[in-house]
Amino acid sequence: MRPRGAGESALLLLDAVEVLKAEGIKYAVVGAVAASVHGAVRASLDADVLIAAAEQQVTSLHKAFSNAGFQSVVSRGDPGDQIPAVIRLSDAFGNRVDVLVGLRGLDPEAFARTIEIPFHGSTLEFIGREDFIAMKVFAGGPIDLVDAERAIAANPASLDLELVGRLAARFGKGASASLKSILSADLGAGYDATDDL
Amino acid sequence: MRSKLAQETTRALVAQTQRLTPEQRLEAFLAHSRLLTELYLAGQKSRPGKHGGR
Repeated sequence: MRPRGAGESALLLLDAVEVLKAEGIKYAVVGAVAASVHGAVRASLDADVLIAAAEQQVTSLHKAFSNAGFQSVVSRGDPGDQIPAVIRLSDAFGNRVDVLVGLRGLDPEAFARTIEIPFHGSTLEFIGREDFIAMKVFAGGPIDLVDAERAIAANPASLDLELVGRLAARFGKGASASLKSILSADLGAGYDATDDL
Repeated sequence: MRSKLAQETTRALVAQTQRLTPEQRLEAFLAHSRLLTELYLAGQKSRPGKHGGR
C-alpha cells in the first residue's frame, strides 16, 4: 500500500485502482480529486471512484479489496437510491476511497470519455469534463455547484454545450435547471439557454 | 450570493490552477490534502474532550 500517513487518500486511490484493473472493472475518478483536475484544487479527506459494475459483483470486489489489504465495508442503497452500492475502503491512517457502484442517470458512454492522467508512476482514468459537470449539478450541494462553476470557468470556449446539456438532462429537470443557471451566469451574453439545452 | 469580486477571485484561482499540468494539479491536491489533514488533526488535539488535548 502506498500511503505513509494521513491525508494521502489520493495514493490509496492508486492502490484501489490496481485492484479494479486486475478485476477488469472500468472506472472513472470523480469527486474532489477530479475537481482538482477539471477546475481548481481543493483538499479532501477522501477520494471517490465510480465503477461500471453490476450489483452482483459487489461481494467479489469486496473480497478482492480485503485480500489486497484494504479495510473494506459495503453499504447498499435503498431501492431507488441513485447510488445502488458503495464500497468504502480505508487504511490504518484513516485515508479513504469510496467506490461508487454505478450512478443512476449516468450515461454509460461516460466510461469511454475518460481522460488518462499520469500520477506517481502510474495512471488514473478521470471522468470527462462534461460528465463531471453534469454529475455535479445533479448532486447539487454548495461545494458541488462551486466545482461545476470552476470546471466551466477553466475553459468555457472548449466546453461541449450540447453534450453537457444532454448529460445533465439524463439526471432530471433539476440538474438541467442548475446547469442553465450556472452557464447563464458564467457565459453571460455568449450563452443562449434556449438554443443549447 | 452573486458578487463581481467573488467571481473575479474564482476566475483568478481557476486560471492559476489551469497553468499547472493535470499531473501537477494532482500533486497539488495531494500536498493540499496532507497539509489540511495535519491542520485538522492538530486542531482536534488542541481541543479539550475525548480526542485528548488540554
